[in-house]
Amino acid sequence: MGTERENSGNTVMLGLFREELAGWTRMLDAGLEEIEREVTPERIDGLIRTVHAIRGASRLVGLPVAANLAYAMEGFLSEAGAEKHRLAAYPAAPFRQACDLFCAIAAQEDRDISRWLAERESDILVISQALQRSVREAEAPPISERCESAVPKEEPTGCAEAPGEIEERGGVTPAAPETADVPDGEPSAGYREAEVPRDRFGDGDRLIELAGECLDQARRLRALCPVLRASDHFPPVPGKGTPSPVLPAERDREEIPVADPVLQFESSSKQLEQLAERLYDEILEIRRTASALSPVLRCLLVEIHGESYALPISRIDRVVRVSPSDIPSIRGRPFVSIDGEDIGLIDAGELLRMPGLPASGGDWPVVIMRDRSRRCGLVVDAFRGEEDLVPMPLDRRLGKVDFIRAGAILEDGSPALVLDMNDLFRAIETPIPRDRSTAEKGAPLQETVPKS
Amino acid sequence: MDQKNGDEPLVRCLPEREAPGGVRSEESAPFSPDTSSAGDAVSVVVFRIKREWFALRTGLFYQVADRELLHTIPGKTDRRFRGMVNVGGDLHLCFSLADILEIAEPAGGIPAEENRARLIVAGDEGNRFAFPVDEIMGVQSIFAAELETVSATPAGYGARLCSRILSIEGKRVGLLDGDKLLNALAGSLETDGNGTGK
Repeated sequence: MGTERENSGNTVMLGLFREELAGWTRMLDAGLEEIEREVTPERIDGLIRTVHAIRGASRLVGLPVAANLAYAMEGFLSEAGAEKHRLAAYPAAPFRQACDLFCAIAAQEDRDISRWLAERESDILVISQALQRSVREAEAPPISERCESAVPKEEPTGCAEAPGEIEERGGVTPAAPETADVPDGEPSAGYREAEVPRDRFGDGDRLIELAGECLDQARRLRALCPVLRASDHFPPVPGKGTPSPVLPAERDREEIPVADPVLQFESSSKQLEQLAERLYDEILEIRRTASALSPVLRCLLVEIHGESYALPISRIDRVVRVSPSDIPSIRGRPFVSIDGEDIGLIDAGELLRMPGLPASGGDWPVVIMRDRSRRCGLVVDAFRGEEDLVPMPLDRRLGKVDFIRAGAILEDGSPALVLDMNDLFRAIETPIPRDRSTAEKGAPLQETVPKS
Repeated sequence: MDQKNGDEPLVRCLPEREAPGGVRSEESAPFSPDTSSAGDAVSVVVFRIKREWFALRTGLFYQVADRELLHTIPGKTDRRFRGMVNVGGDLHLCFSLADILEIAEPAGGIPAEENRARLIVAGDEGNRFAFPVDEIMGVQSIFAAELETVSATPAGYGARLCSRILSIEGKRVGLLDGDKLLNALAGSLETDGNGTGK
């Protein structure tokens, strides 16, 4: 009796499953078409939800072969969502085959589904393995491509390393490859660099990064508006070429009133300025909201003047050790050449108004930060590794603290400050001369209660 | 007495100070001779900073912790405001009461055996602050009758933050006015990081 009731129940469930599977297959088909045109996080999420539903339902009705196939698809998509590989480069065939297979399952009679799947189990396994192999063989994350020029191709990218570790890498200049023990390594001559894993920051961080970039653009746009208004140059009017200023007397002689290009331009410029203001405010709000929504920030920890500071990894291009003898200066400002680009260096201690950096006889630890189109190097005292930090707003009684985004508590319980990368990039517009040779020995971590 | 020389304890000069006119804080009110009787007891925590003993209303205390690592705040830290500390998973602003109260370093320093340093977190919700002390005597119940008026002799800034003094276990203890202390802490933040006002 029980078996009959079970079979009856299974038949009902299978009927529902087939109906739902038909709908999910249509969604899957449409989703695959969309990501073939353009890959977006939303589309990936949509596909993940669909295959997740297929997986759960397959398990529920006792079809593990179908569930395993959905599981392989879900794993592939999840990895793509986490930017561990490029979905654009995914092999379309296994996905299409899987989609067709689900479509065929939905078309089977209830009583035939199990047998039909059993006959094709080996074929389905091949598709699942192809998807799993695609994950393993997938391309390196796009974000690390910026490091590839400096890293030998045959080396692993190191983008999936364990937290707290920074893998040693070859030198920037092929002629002088050296390894770097970034957190505590002994200094040596030449450039040494280490990649920073950057596949762990989530949507919140990406949103913050994007908002930060937009904010900078909006700021530039806002700064540009008064310049445009004050400019003596007038923009070309379509069909009329570049206009010259129209004097009132000349305008009065015109029989047919025409739009004054100067007034037109001033009006447009004012509108542009208002738009820029609004854009700036709105993006600022987005960044604030995104910061509030993002509880964990993957950070590189550095030592500045004996204390811990954190830099969000999402804005770091790489970390390098640079021999002082290899640092020329342009107009008193030191710079370093990486990938053929001269990158200006700023001193973290001087930027934070903490004179008297620890004297450093060896290489300078430099964090190469990246903005939308710029890079700059922040010279710190030491690298301390990586940690996932929860940014904590600074006490409101402090007011605005320059270059500081938030506070945080490290794993060992000691406090740290998260640097504001946007503030840092704004600061590089003002060159800060640096002379470490005259620096004094820095103080160690202070304690609240002095030892007597 | 010149507190900056550090020759005499701060509290010795307190009986010679005049009481601040027209100001009566919440915690000093119960000890006013005209409003309280000898039976009104108030709980205070007594602690030592360098050679000076102070008491603060127990209700203002939030937590007592061991010494914690301090992180300076660039552009904000000076000799009065030291930075921030992590106490129990929260970041608190840390002040040096020794500098705010202008307590001079005792000649010859403090023997190591007398150093029972702790970190105190006090204040109201949203207005908490931490400060290191060299020793905590404990919680004491004090009565209005035990209190002596602070005299008017100009002394360190600490004397201005004390509403009364009392004797506990043979020690002269200055009763800190909580409101004035909070105001002094807020004032110490309004500096440019070099200890000077903005």
